Amino acid sequence: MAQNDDRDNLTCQQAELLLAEYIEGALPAFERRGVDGHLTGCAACRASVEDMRLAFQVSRAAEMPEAPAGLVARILEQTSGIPETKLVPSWRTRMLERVGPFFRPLLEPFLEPRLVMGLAMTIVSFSLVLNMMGFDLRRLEWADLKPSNMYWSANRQMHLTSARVSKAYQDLRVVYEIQTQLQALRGEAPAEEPAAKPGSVEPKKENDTQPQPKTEGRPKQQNRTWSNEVRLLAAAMPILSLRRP
Amino acid sequence: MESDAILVGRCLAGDQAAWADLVKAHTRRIYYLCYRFTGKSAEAEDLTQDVFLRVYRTLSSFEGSQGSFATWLTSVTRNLLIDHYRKHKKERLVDPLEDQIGTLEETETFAASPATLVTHRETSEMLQGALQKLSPDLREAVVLRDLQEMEYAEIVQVLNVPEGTVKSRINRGRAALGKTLKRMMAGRAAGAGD
Repeated sequence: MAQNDDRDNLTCQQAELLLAEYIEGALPAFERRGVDGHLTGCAACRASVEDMRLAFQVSRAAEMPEAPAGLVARILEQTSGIPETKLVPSWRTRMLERVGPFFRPLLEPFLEPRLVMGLAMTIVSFSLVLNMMGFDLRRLEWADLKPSNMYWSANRQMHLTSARVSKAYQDLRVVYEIQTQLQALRGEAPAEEPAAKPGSVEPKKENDTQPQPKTEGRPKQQNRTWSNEVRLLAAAMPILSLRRP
Repeated sequence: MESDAILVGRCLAGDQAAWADLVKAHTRRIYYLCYRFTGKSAEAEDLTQDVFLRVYRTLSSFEGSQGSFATWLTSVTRNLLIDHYRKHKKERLVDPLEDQIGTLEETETFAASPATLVTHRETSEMLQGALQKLSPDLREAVVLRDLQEMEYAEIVQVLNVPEGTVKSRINRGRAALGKTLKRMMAGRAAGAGD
């Protein structure tokens, strides 16, 4: 074969490129024959190959010694600062150890911290939205998931929320004060003060001593527009007015 | 044990247990590499610690797409070994071979398997002594291929030289190492015969 003829006539330089793998026994048969052919006729390369083979055999026979005792612990102390004995496997490692070798490859990609956090946030968001829509997740039934039921529930929850917000707003002290001020400006009696909360002490007002105009229950609902009321309030408190006095 | 790439990812996410796993998995190999290069246990131990300290600081620069973690770790080790070698070059000027093994002439007595003439421990010691006689270029090539049993492609990455150069260094390193081992073994055989 032409290829073999070429290989039989290898130069020392050509043979050298193949010697590393020749020594390791990793050369393909036709290349090995080529090197063998060259070595038969080249005493210098033959002597060199003997030395190489000896070095290779002794090196490969050498066993890797164990690292000195305590080296790992010292490295860990130096780097992470945490002694080896105090290191606790992460939740991920513990979970993977529990599921066993069969499920481990299936579960492993899904236990990335970022993915788990994203999943947890999605669940929390959904549960918040459902909760706001009036679903009690602990007592959720299939019937609750019907579109008509969901619409009814969401609508009811919206009205309830709106009523709660409105009531909370009306109960605010500052709102009451503003309303009282407006009524006083309009020459009406203030509405009854909301009941004080338990434990709260209201300071005595100066105008408590002044005679109050007689009132009968809550003041009548006024039909004046909001802009009129703001104008009145601004006139009483110049600081609220944009115009200079 | 999880793959190195996964462990590195977890380390970067702050998982200290993953870092401990990485250190445990590679300490022995890195220590061995340092020991074969320096020839001194204490120095090898210090260098191994330095290697992991550097790896800990620069772990974020590891790119899995450019090779395995083991190869990257070997490159870091190699860089430190070179620095260490340069720093201690004056102390480490290679003595003539005869200083260590005497003036014994090379004989033809060593034709049989080396294992039949010396014990395993002695072989290992001789190997260590002979490696120290090699130039750093040849030594690292031989250590990576024959003692660390790395693939040629990985050695190319670590040494950053073409594959032809790697093979040439390995050949020359093996030839020089073999010559030295022959002399040492012949010397011991002659000493034992007296």
